[in-house]
Amino acid sequence: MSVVAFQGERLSTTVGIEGNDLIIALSGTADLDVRTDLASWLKMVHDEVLRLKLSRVVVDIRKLEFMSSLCLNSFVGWLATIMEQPPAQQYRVHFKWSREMFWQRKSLNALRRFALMLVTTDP
Amino acid sequence: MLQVESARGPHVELRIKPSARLISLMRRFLSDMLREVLTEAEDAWRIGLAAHELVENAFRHSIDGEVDVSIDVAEEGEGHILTLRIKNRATPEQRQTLRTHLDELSAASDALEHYLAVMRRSAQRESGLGLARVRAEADMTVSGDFDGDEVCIMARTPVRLMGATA
Repeated sequence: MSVVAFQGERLSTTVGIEGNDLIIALSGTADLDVRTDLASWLKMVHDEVLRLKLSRVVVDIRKLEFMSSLCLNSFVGWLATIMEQPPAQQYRVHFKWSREMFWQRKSLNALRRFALMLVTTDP
Repeated sequence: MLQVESARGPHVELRIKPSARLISLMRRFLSDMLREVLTEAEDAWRIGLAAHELVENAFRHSIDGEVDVSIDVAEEGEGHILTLRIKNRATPEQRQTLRTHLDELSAASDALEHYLAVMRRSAQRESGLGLARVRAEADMTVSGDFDGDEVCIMARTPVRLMGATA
C-alpha cells in the first residue's frame, strides 16, 4: 500500500485494509495547522483507492475531537473529486462517529446531504 | 487580556494573538466554562464551535494578528440571549469579501441549504464556509459591524442559564 499514515503534533491518522475497504482513522484536532497536510493525504487516499480498485473507504473519526471548516473543506473536496469520477470508479465513504462529539453529527449530516449517493454513517 | 465575570451571568473577554493551538485551547476553555452555566451541554459545544470558526477566520484575515473575543449573556424577552463577538482589523479587500459572505448568509432562508451551496463552491474558491457552518451547525444568527478597518462579527443564540427563572 502506498498511502501512509501521518503523525502530526495534534492530529494523527492510521491506515489499513480490511477486505475491500480502506480503513482510515483520525484522532486529535484537525484545524488551521494541518489543512494542507490533510488535503494532500486525502488525495493520496483517493489515488490509492482507485489504484487498488476498492469499493469503500471507512473513515473513523470517533477520536477526532474537532475539525474546523478549513479541514472540513478538505473532505468536501475529496467527496467532490469522487463524484467527478466515472460511475465505475466511484466508491463509497462510510463514517464511524461518536455521539459524544456534538459537531460530528451536524457535520456528517451536511456531508451526507452534500454527497447523498456516496456517504453513509454510523451510529 | 483575560477577564471572566460570572456574577451577572457568563461574561468573558479575551484579546489574543492566536495560533492554531491557542484557538483550540480557547474553544475548550469557552465550552468548559459554558457547560458550567448553561443547562444544555450541546449549547456549550455549539458556541465553542462558533468561537473556533470565527476566531480562525479573524486570525487568517487580521492585519495585525490580534483578535478580540467576548461573550455576553443578556435577558431578552422571557429568556436569555448569548452574544459572541469577534473583532479584528482587516484590509479593504477582506472586509468586502466578508460583507459579501454576510449578505449571502442573511439573504438565505434555509441555513442548511445555504451551507450545502457554499460547500459546492468551496473547492474552487474562498467560500465563507466557516460563517455558513456557524449558522447551520451552531444554529446561531450571524451579523457584522464595520467601523474603519475594524470588523466585528456577532453570533447570537438563545440559551438557558442554570438557576434562571426566565
